[in-house]
Amino acid sequence: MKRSFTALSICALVYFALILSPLRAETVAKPAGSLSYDISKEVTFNATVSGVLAKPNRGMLMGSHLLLSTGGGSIDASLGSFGLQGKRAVSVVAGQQVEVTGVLKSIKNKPVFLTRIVKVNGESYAIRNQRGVPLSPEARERLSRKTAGGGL
Amino acid sequence: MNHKAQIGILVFVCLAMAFLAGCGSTPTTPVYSYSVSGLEMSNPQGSGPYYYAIAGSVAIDNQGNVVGGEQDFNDGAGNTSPGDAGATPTPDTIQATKAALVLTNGQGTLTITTNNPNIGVNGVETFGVQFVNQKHALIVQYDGTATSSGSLDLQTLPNQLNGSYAFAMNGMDPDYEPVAFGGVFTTGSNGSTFSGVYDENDAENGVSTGNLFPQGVAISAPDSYGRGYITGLGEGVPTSIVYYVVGAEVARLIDVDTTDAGLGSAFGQGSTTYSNTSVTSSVFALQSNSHGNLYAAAGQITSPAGGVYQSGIADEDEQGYVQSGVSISGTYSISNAVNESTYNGYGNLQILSEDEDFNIANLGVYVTDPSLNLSDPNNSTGGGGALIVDLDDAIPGTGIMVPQTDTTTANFTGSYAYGAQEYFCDFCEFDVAGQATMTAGTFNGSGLISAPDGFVFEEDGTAIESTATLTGNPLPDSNESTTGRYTLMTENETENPLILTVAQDPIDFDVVIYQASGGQLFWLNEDDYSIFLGPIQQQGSLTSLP
Repeated sequence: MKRSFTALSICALVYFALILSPLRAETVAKPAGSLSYDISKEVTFNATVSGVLAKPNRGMLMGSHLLLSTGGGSIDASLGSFGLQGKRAVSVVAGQQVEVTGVLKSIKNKPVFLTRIVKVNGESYAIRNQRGVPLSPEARERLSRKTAGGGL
Repeated sequence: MNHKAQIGILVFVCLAMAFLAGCGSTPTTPVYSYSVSGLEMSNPQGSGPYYYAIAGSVAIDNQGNVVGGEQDFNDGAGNTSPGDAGATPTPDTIQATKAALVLTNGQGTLTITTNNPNIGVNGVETFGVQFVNQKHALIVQYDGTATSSGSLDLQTLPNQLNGSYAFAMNGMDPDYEPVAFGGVFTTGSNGSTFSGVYDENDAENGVSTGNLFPQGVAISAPDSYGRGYITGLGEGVPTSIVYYVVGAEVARLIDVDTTDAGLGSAFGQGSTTYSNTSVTSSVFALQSNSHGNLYAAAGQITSPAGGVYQSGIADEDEQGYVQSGVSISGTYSISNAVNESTYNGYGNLQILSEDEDFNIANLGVYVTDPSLNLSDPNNSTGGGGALIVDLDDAIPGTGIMVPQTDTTTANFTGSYAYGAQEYFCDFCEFDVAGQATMTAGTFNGSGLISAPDGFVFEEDGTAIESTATLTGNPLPDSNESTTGRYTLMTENETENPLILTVAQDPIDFDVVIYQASGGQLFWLNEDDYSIFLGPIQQQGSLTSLP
């Protein structure tokens, strides 16, 4: 009896939650396009910086880029609009070892790594937020204040 | 002289004086409401550029002298109009300035001298101005300290917020991440009551829809420049918003919080009850803010009916990743319910595309009075339409959707004013406002370009505030009569990109144009190194301008 009552209570709660929840503007699931960022697909790897591009080469995504050499070949790591600009910008030169975290995508039929975090020389630099949106210098500064003492 | 003759002379003199002096009334100095948003470098702490927004009202007499005014400036990063930090947001004041508006054939500059030394050049802002007609101009900040795009519109007072409105805003949240929000609200006279619903797309916190405004929202009465403020809007939206009335159904909105910033508009909904039958073939155009996840998009939907549209076409440029001429279809719903209350004109539109990289699938749609022109508030033609907010994860943006009433190529002709807010290469921007003629298939004109030092053309090491010419031959799509779409592309069979020339240095831009009517079009630049969006508006009479 008690179990039935509990089950009924849960059903009632779910029912009322559904009834009372806002009938929100419908949104449809859109396909996971090339620029979408799914944090569950993040990977982290080490690489050697073979090039630092403050400006993109023709055909690249807008923003700055690191060209990385890995055991499996070279890769274009996008740093977004602000990665090498302003306060808390990535400080890196060709030849340095880095650890990068992000999501590998295929954009314009080429592999592009949407970089979220770069670690170099023991420093960790936030490049994008967890939705893949590039962080501006001011956003990085505020994030740093929020997470002072904690990880990214 | 007898008594009757004396009275007759007195009456004659009085009539003559009344005729000469406008029946004894004092001529009123025209007041213009204006607003812009873009990137600025004037923040005293440096390390910019930062997003910023300005809204204000300025009185300009018929000699071009600024008589007075007030404005609010905010970058949400330490450079907010000082008076806005108080419990009662107070504006910067605009000082009287001789010959502040200088025009040649509707194009020129407007100098606004404020009491805020942290903006412009020691408090003095210069705007490039391109009049579309006597009551409406496209403007860009044009003084090397910032660049931005916006409009300047003749203000009609007295008017106050009273009735039902659609609204949308775009800016930065308290973590300085991009955010956009919009919805509908209804208010009694001067905020005696306030209720409504809004959707929000925050780059950090994601999308939330169907949010209700709390009780206790307060709206102050507008002052003599049509400025008032709104407080108590609740979570996720600015603590304080200042509004500047443009007219009976239009106001500009600026977020004046010190840690976040944004700009937008509210447009009246009139007395119409909106439903799915309210939506007609339409053109839409939307854009991130200058400091956001950079993108812009434009498109068109054909013959929507019963909540479904079977066809349409759209273009998107996101961070240089271009989806061009994508076929779309989808559904929409106008006047939806939240918590069992139906909100008039609170709608949404879904976009389905076979191109999985076309990233725009969900738009919030907030319907406006059909008697309004969303691009030119003093123009009663245009058919209204809706304000829109992009509700797709990670790409906050705002824009408008307007009825598409005339796709006839022959009616894309004559004199036009144009504007463009350009996100160029990397963390930089330039803005253009100008005028052109469309004659025998050639769009040819000249405008003012604003690119502060380091924003663009950094190899030159100089700011650019100068004239820029442009020319191009828009090519109608083969199905243009249905879509209203034209292209200026390097990849067209006969190469025809738009050529913008600055200081004898021509730059190619791939551009699409969507024609809502012969009077109102939008253009979108879709290159991998640049993105711009802007209006093309048919010009009216420019006589009687200062």
